[in-house]
Amino acid sequence: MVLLLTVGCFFLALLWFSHARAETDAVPPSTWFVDMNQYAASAHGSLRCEECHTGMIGNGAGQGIGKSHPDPDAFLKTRSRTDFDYQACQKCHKTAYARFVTGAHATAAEKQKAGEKPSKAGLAPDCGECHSAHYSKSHLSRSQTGRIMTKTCGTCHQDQKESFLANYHGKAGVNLGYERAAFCTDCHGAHTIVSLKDKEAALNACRRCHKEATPEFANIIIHDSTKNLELKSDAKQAGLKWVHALRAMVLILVVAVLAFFYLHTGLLMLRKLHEKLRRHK
Amino acid sequence: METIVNPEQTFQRFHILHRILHMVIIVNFTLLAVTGFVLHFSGFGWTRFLVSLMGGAGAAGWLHRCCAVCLYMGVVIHLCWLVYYKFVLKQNLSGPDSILPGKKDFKDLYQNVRYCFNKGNPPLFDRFSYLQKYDYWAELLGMQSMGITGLILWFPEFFSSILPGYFINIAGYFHFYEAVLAVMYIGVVHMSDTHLAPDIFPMEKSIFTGKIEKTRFMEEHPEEWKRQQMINNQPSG
Amino acid sequence: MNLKTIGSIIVGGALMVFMAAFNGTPVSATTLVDSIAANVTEQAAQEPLVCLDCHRMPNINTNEGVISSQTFCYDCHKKEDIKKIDGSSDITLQITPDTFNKNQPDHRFVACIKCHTDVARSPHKTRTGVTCQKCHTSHSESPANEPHLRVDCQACHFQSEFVRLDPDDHRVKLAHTNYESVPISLSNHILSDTDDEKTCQKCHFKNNSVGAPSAVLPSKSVLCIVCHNAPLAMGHPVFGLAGLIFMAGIFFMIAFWFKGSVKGEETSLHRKISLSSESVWNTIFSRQFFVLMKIFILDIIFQRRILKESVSRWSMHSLIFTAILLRFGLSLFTAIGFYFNPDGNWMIALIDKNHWFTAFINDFLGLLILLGIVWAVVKRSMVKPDHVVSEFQDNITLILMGSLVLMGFFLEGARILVTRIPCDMAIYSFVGYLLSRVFSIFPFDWASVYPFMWYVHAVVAVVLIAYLPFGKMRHMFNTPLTYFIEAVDGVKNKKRV
Repeated sequence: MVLLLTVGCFFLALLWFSHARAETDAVPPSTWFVDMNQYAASAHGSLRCEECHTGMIGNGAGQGIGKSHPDPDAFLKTRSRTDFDYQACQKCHKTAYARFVTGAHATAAEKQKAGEKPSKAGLAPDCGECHSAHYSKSHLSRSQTGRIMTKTCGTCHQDQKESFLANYHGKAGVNLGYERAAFCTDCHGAHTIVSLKDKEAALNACRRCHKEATPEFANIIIHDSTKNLELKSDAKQAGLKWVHALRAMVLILVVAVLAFFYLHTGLLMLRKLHEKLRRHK
Repeated sequence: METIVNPEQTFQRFHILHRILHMVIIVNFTLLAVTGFVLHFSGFGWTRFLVSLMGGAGAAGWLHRCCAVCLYMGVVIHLCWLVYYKFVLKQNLSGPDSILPGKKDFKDLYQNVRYCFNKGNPPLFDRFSYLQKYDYWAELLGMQSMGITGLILWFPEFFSSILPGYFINIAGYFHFYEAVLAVMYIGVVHMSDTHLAPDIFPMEKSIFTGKIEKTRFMEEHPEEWKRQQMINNQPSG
Repeated sequence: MNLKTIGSIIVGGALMVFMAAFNGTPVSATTLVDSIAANVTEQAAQEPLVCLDCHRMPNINTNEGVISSQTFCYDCHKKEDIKKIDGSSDITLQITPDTFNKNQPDHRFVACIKCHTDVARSPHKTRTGVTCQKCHTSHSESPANEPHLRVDCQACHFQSEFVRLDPDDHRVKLAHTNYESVPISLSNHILSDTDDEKTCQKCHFKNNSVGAPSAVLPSKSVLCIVCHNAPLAMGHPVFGLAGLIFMAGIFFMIAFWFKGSVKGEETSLHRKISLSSESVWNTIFSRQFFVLMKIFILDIIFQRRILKESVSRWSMHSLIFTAILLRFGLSLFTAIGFYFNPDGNWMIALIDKNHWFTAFINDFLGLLILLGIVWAVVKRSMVKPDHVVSEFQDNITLILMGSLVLMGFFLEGARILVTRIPCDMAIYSFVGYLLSRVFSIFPFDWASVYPFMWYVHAVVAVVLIAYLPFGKMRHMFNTPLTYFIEAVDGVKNKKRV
């Protein structure tokens, strides 16, 4: 009885922990208001408004949202994050900006400006889509950065986020806080975002941690969902079909075996109980 | 505690090595299941609690591989014993005492199912019932496949040099689904058979003590009992 | 009346007047805060504005912060010419502080952005709509709650007669156009009177577009808790009548028992009741209690004595009994849990018929009951073993229970069809979904058929409950009682029931 109670309490304690870890903020949606408490605690807390929002003070002619502020046509219809001039970031974040410009996100943004339709993942991001200038904190641990990153990248790349979290790296890194696991930017680059469809690129990414990786090692599929197949190399696409076919077969086998033995055991238990009850006079 | 008035006659059923190996299996299997599922179900809060108890994700991983190695050493020792049994003790690996499946087992299964529906008598088992044989073989073969898929996941660099990359993904899924099968089978079927069956409740002790009582022997393994009696009644020589 | 009394009355009265003056009536508080706000804005207008004068997030947990936050919005929205141009028509978006305070007096000190959470941004449009449940709990156990989980609060509580079913998230919401697709303004913030049945008839009318049944149905009664999660209220008078008849039946049954002798007492009813009460009390508060517990678990929950007779009989009876027991247990758990925590995730899942767990378990257990009843019917009418004698009382019970469960499944199918639950949600209610596909072949007005089916189901349930103590089903009460008495008295009843 005491043992049962202890075990029960143990499981209740486990349930208590079952609430997902406190949601670390990815990028909160922009509003017209700035929460000064959070701003003061952020990395940019010591900066004054006009240092980044140049030309918006007074009668506001210049860059930033719309031509002047407030201009109804501008602020009612435009998307503030898209329209902000991120040259302001370059003033301090020179390396990151330089790297970003060479990456796939910047290329997509150029294409969009030229009038092309955005990709399946959504509008091409600028600095402000991934980093909250008002609220991002500095000096975060690798684990915290990884968790935030998964959420941020996952807003547009939902499928990849899910498949990452179903993979060992995601489970160990994000869920269990294992600092040696790889996060999005460890493979795909931080600001120089690259696609890993090319075998060389993939192999280089793996070799950052798996020093002995062979070219075939790079064919191990991390994001193993069947959506977004066109982003994968041919070898991976072919392999994925086998993976899912065999997976389905094994699942059916497991269910069949369990069903058979559960039925067998259940019926047998009833029969034996019946016999035992009859013997008890 | 009551004094045992009539101690029942017992017979040696399991060698000490088997009893030790069974304990080894229990401990390692449980730890493997816990450390393994903690990784797969890491999305839930309770796993984080367990992992922190184990000392972090890395430690849990090491514990998992350690227990796997210990378990496999048990398998190796068992195989060595089989060799010893056949070539040194010159015993028979097949025959009525054997754990190899045979035609009788399928007949017994069919008879047992009919018995469940009240059409006939329960089957008369020899040394090992068909369920016990299935248990043994499922474990033995299961450990091989879990071992191989586990090794593939442990050394992906090595295995990807001899197998295509997506085999590691396949190994991952096989490893997980077979783990589920093993735990669900042991947890329900094996536990029912050895703990919950009305004749055995609360527990089948012979795998731990090595001995089986006479009445149990006669009820559960009547064919073996018959053969035992015939051997005993035969004149020596 | 002496001087002391008069004096204390005067002082007490003066104190009360003082307190009232200091607390102030709500109206005076508003004018006080409003005038402060007006002063501040006036002063600030004389100097050039700095970013944070407007863009600092106010603390909307304080009245001061609320006023300042509202002022930001009213800057544009109090103007007469503030409007949205939708197609060819202009819809006013004007709302003044006076209008808002008049129409929503309870929300005077709630910031606009507290409800319109995501609208204070560029572009100036909302994705989530208005959230009421940041402050308000959902309805407690009441008819409003369970069938209306997919209805937005505003659809009932906002005085606009136009509602729509959003195909993306399958929720019933306020429409921003009337039924001729002309855009309408919702900026007046007037609340509706939900006690008036006219409010219900916004959705519950023939040929409505939101998938509501065409009639407003009564709430379930607490009697329904045997199978369904139900509010702890009697509901429609018919349920009350059934309850009364049931109680009468139990009463007659017990009265009949007390006609005999009790512990040697032959005549005095008063003594009989005293003796039996004492006996029961002494048994419960004694070591015998554990014997009773053991009997309860083994013989009543697990039906050990039937298993002793026959595995097939045990299976058939358990299919019916255990499934109903599990449903009853779940309903009780839901009712009690809901009382303590109406907003809990598990609770809401348990009362939500479209939640995968509730949908599946209800259909699964219902199917088990039906299978058990079918097995019993087959046994009594086709197999006809010698030891089974089928009397009227057996047949009527099977007919009532069978039709109840069957009607339940039909209702589930009709509900899924009428409320247009999408396949990926409804599939968990596997029997119900199947039936809904079958029903969809027939071109009936299912929204009107559904209320009729509901009443049939309720009437059958009512008849069954009223009948329980009068037929053989009274074994539900008598058999456990007999087992308990047997166990305690040690007197084995040799006659087989």
